[in-house]
Amino acid sequence: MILCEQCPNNPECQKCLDALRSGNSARKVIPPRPVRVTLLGSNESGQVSLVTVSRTAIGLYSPNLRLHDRIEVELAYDFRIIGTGLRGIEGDPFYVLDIDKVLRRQEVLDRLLIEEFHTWLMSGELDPSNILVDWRDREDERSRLIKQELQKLSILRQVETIFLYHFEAGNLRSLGSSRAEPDVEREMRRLVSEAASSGASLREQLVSANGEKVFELYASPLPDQTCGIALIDVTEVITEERRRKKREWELYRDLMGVVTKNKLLLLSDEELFFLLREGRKLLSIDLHAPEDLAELRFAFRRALEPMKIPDKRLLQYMVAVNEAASNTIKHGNGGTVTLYVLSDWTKCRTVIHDQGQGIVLEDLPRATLLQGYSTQQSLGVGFHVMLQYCDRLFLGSSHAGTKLILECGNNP
Amino acid sequence: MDYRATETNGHATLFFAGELDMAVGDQVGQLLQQYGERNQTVRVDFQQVSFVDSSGIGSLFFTTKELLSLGKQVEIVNVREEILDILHVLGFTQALGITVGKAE
Repeated sequence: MILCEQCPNNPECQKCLDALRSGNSARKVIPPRPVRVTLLGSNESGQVSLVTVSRTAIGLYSPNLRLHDRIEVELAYDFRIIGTGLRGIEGDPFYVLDIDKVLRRQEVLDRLLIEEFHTWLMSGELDPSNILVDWRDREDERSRLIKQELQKLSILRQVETIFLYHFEAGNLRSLGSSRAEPDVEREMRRLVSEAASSGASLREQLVSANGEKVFELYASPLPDQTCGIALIDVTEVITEERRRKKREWELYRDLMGVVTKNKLLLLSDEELFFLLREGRKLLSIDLHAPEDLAELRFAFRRALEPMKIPDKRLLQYMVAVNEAASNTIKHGNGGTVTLYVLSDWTKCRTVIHDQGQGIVLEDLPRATLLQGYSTQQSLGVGFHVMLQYCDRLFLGSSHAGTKLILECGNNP
Repeated sequence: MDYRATETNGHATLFFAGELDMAVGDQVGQLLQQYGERNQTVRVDFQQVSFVDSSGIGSLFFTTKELLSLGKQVEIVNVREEILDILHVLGFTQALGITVGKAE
């Protein structure tokens, strides 16, 4: 069996690696990573799972879209592979893509998560267009003042460099002593020419050709058909934002561990994946409406019979699972509830995958520390019950939603 | 969830049976509201209740609170031990300060 939803039960399987015909350089992608593919012949596109990689080929699991001929794979922002699709394993929707061309800016990928960038961008903290709008004066003193104003904005304290330019009749003139790299200026000239001719202001992101720097570009057309430009190096801002989020996550993880005596554990996607592969999947139920909950409890009770959990304890575990399941419906999106059990039937784990916003990190301390209806908050009530009635709770939060895992042993 | 009710001289008893979850939570609250409005005391009998969760008794909780503020009396009786434990964990009884009677 290939690396797909079955693979956690069979980590020794090598078929998907062998299919790449790349010898020992082939590796499994754990957990499999969702990527977007486009069939270049027909322009059809869809989401598939990247399951194996090597230096010459990649393996894709695509149950819904038949991959053939020339294909473009978007591995991440600004990192694409173009290759030729071949069927990999007889009888399985596993495809091998021989890499023809790599469009990569690896350094950017390492540093930049597009979502983080957008979060920062949407904060509205930085908007110098007002400063630039009446920018007619070309004197250096004026540009120094503009720079001074920009630096008052808190986000820009981490900005390494701001380049100011004036654009006139296809020419870029730097207003400071330093200039951006020629490739960035070339791209900027192209974008600003369009803005100048349309008369509309422009806000764009640029990445340097070597992928090491990310810039925020602001261009403000002036009434005399020229354009004022601020080019801001935001590479460090983004890196710092990522560090901040990581620190915040680690703080919550440690705090929750202490408060709950290690009963609530925040895990990364990869840690969750390895936790689940310890067990075997027993059943999976999609939830859409409150009426599905009774069916869920019935199916769980029946599936867990061999575990011989004492009646009272099983009821309590069902209440906990039910609380988590209800939350996915309450938020309007529904979710999937999957039951795993260890091979010796001593422990079970229920995964609740919420496709909605799920649990917000900031809510956790309140939900954990306050109990019952006194919180006036449904999460508070449900979460307290889960903590009381499960042996352990694992929580993983990613762009794809929240995964909550409720663990219960067969001890009395 | 099933229910039946009796009413005599300003006293009502509501007998609930089955599982009180999100699917029936609103209905449970509405029934208590309905009987609470026209009676001075309401006794809620949980003898046949085999499952509760926060969504199932959320509405019951808030309706009880409302009736208490209007000077009505509400009590929950004949609660099975395992259900009583869940009510305690939910903070249901402590927050309302009402009598919750164990099943005999």
